[in-house]
Amino acid sequence: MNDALIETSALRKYFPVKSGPFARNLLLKAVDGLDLHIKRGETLGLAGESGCGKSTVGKLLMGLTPPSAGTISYHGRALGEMGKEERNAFRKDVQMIFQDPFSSLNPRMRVGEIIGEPFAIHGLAAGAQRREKVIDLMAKIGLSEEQFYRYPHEFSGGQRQRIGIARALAVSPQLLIADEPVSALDLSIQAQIINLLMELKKEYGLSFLFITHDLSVIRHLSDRIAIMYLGKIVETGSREDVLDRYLHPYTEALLSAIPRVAPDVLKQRIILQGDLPSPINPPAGCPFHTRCPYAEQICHSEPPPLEEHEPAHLCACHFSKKLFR
Amino acid sequence: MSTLLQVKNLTTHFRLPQGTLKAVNGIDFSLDEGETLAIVGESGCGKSVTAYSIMRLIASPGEITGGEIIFGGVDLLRLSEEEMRRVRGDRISMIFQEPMTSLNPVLSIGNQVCEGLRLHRKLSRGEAREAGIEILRQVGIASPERRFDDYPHQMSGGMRQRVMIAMSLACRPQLLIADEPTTALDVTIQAQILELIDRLKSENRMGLILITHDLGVVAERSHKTAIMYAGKIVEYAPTRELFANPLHPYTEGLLDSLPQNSRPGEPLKTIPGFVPNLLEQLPGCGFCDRCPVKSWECKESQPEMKEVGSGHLVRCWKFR
Repeated sequence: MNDALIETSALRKYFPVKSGPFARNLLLKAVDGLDLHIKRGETLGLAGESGCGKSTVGKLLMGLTPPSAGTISYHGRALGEMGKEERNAFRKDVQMIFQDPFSSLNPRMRVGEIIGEPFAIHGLAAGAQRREKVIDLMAKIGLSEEQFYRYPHEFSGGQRQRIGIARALAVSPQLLIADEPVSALDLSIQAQIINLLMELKKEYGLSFLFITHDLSVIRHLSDRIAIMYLGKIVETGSREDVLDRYLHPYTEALLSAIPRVAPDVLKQRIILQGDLPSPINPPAGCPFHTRCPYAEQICHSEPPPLEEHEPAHLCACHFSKKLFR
Repeated sequence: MSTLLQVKNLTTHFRLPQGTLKAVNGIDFSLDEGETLAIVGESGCGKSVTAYSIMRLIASPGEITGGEIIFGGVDLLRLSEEEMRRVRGDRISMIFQEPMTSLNPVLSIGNQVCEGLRLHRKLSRGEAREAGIEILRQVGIASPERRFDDYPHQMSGGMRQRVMIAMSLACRPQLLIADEPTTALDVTIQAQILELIDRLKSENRMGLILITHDLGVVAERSHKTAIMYAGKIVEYAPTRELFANPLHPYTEGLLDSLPQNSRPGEPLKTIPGFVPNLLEQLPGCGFCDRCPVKSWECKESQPEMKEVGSGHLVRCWKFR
């Protein structure tokens, strides 16, 4: 796709793991053949259970860890082919908001220094000019100028997450990667942060990769959604396609597992048996067949391809049509 | 149905160098056999301290400074430490929040599950092993004979939480306190665990106190709900009634701020501000700084709990 801001093709990340001192190296397939794209100004929600590889995707897109195979291109340029200058520009354009507002801020730095650090790294502003920009950012995220010299421990979780957001915004990025940015926060604070992210997106025309396990947050924020299972995308499409007209039994099970505040029509809840299988030795065939309530013979042997079932609505399941249409 | 637990005017304070932190500041509730009470609130509202107080696990500088906890006709606060130890883990037990850190990493899970049986039921090693394997089977651990001698690090988060549940249920308690039992787990595993607790509860007619901040879990799993804010219960009602007819401005705010209650892409309703610092002694309602409907009275004096409907209590000057 040409209008993609960032795009991955057949992206893989394998980690070698040893089960004992003399054991053979095994491969943990955290990300296993991923095709994703995010357009300018778009929010892509990436959802799945812990251990499905969604955080690794975030790290790969940040360029924090090199892929084992496949490519990531930014504005059509492959990350691996970039020279030093291009690479630095990429690092400025893509910023990250972390999950844990308690461990992602340096406790020995003052808030003003934390938010100002990206300016220093990219040589953008110094001295009084930097201070002014930091104070502007602080105002934008709802902190006051007096808090410039405070340390992170003097702030609540919600405020710290705001500081993390200000730091990411400092260098006017194009793409923000947010890895579970609200899951460590209290409910009333979650809503404040979600609203802040939506405002900033509108104001700066940001693109977002929103990584979370919480489908109600994803529904609220995303334009498109990708559901991941064991390193693979099992379903992707527009928000409505995936959440309201899903085609994959895993999406159905995830949605069904969310406890509802208004149990309007109490549908029979689908409770998946067992845990996510180990990504070291993933099941043959469809990775979901061990927990799938509809699995048949073919699912044990043949991995279903990720196919376009409806325009821009892709799903990897042998029986989508039969089950859901 | 008979009353299992009655908490009256419980207060737990922490004496810190900066002053007295009133973590739990006079709360009342009761629980019948086989009933589930949900305690809901934000971090720092005192919900976990309430649980630890019932278990009498408050350590210095914390102290239970007043009130009564009547369980099976006896005030737990009047028991000696020795007597309390006989109740704890036997008739009352607790599931802790983090399955990763609340299991002992150097003891096999079987050992940990059987500890209560050996201590309270005086079972022999062999008998305890048999009983322990049976409990592990009940909580859905596959081939428990083999897993019995495994250590916590060999298990996934969901498995560890099952082991925690097995531990707490080993002696068939009459009261189970579950402090955020599924917060660290994925939704699919959460559904499994909640289903399991519900099943075991109905088998044993056990009372359950479910501490959580997930309103969906509350709506689906509990009979009664207590909403806590700044050390006090601000609303207490049958769960159905609470969700159909929330009265306290804080409860309304919490429900309104759920993403499910807004259209996608629109700003969520929020409760402005933060939870107050409990070290500061304010004469009025703890919520008044964030409240959209406050009046002059709210800052001046603390409202009392008022019964506004059958079993529906609320602490707000709007209702008198």
